[in-house]
Amino acid sequence: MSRAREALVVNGLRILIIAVLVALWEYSADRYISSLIIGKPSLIAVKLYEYILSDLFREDLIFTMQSTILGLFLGIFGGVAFGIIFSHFRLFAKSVEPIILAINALPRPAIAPILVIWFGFGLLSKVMVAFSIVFFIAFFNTLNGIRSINPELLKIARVMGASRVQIMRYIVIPSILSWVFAAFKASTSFALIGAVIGEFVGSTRGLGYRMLILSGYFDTSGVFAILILLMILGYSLIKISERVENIILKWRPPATTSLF
Amino acid sequence: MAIISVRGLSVVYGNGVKALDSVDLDIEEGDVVSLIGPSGCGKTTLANMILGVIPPEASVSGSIVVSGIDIIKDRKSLVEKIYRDVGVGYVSQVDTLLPWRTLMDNVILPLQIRGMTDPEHMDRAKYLLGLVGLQGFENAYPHQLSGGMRQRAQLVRALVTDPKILVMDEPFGALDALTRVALQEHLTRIIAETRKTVIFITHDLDEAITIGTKVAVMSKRPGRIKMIKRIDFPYPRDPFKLRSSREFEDIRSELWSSLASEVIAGEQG
Ligand SMILES: Nc1ncnc2c1ncn2[C@@H]1O[C@H](COP(=O)(O)OP(=O)(O)OP(=O)(O)O)[C@@H](O)[C@H]1O
Ligand SMILES: [Mg+2]
Repeated sequence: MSRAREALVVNGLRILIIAVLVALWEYSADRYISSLIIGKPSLIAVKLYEYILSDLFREDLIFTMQSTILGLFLGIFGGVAFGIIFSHFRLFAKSVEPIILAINALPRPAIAPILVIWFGFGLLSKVMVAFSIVFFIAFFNTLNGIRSINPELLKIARVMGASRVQIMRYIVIPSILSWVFAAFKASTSFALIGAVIGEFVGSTRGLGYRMLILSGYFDTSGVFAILILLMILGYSLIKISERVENIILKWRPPATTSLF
Repeated sequence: MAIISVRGLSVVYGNGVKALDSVDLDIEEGDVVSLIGPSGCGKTTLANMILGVIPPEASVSGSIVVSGIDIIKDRKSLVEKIYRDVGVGYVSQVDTLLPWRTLMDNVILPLQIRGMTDPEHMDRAKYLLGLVGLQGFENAYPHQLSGGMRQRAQLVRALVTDPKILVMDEPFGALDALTRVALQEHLTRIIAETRKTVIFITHDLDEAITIGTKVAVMSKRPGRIKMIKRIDFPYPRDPFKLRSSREFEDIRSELWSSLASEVIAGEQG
């Protein structure tokens, strides 16, 4: 099958599957199961429309996006920087590693309440929850990246007379870049999770906070409306980071072998 | 005085494999030493040691003196300085182009590292790329090149700073016979023009004789230098003519018998 044809078929199938599911949902709601429980697509659409037109939406969206993006970037930056420093001090690294593993083993929702106590009901506590997840992903990916640097490349750099800084710049950083991007992509959804958890625990705005309020009123369709927004937000973040990754890592060979 | 002098060098790797056993080798300035020996006998290990790349968990005894500096015992900074001053070009046995750099950016890496990206040196990079038949591929990434092209690129990268010492670990291993001979000729011309001291590791006896002013035969592992044969053909050399000459045949059979006894012994051990 030609590539264009395949794309056509795939896209067609996607639309068909979604349409069938939504139609089934719409048909069953209030007929077999109460829309209080499963919501109803037509109602969700109305709620979504009303919410998007309201001032609350702008405020909530900006708030959630801010905490997600700040947590994401600070976490990536912190994790990568700490990972690089960490790998330079072998003894220190060896002693601290179990502590880091233990902290990372904490379920993050469990530390969200303490972060809200420390950093308040505002933006900062949500940034910190997102940060606390992203940081570790970036940190471990950076460590793996550094450990998997081809030693032969370090050797040729040394033979060329490269200084430590030059080795960093020409070999280490480019080598770990693909690991950092892997961390970045995985982290976008985790940052969003972190931000929403932070809002659940204690907030005065944000998409997660709004959802909590609506669920308190049993506004199921409203909750679904916000879930859809969160889905779009998370999906866009992943797509954007994939685009950026493909531009920066354009040297990578394309995956030519397919398993199927 | 020898520019590189190896004395009683023994290397035992961390896993207990003894790679080198009391190697003695003197390399005079302008020598082109072809190093030949059975696979696994320690040629790459010897090259690494001379390059100052000492595996962290290996135990090393003996000495390697390069331009008066003992690179095993003297301070690291001193060793680095001597390599910066003398200049070393290195072609690895394995693929060491940086996958994220284009061909051109790969071959000028040593220039960037040494702050020599002036037009003159950049032109030299382009000239060398042309010489090994890589013009037109400047913007290709390594994964878009063939194995032989990557090897040729490594050769250019090693030559671009015009280093005094050149260490080449099976640089033409992945090339077809014809390209190989053409590059052998280019290499002897470059060496003759720029007066380099060369360590040239190969599995190919003809190649060893074609390139070297000396051929050093190594024993099977743990490697020792078993014999050194002077090759007095004038430089630069014409590989085609050389190989049909009577003297070449004589040298070849002498070295072959020395090598063959190692390979046969190697199979038993
Ligand atoms: N880092 C290492 N750790 C442990 N053993 C090693 C290491 N590097 C090489 N060796 C061993 O040392 C011996 C010599 O290896 P070396 O790479 O020097 O051989 P070589 O002569 O270059 O072989 P070839 O011609 O196949 O390239 C081999 O037996 C190899 O298994
Ligand atoms: Mg080798």
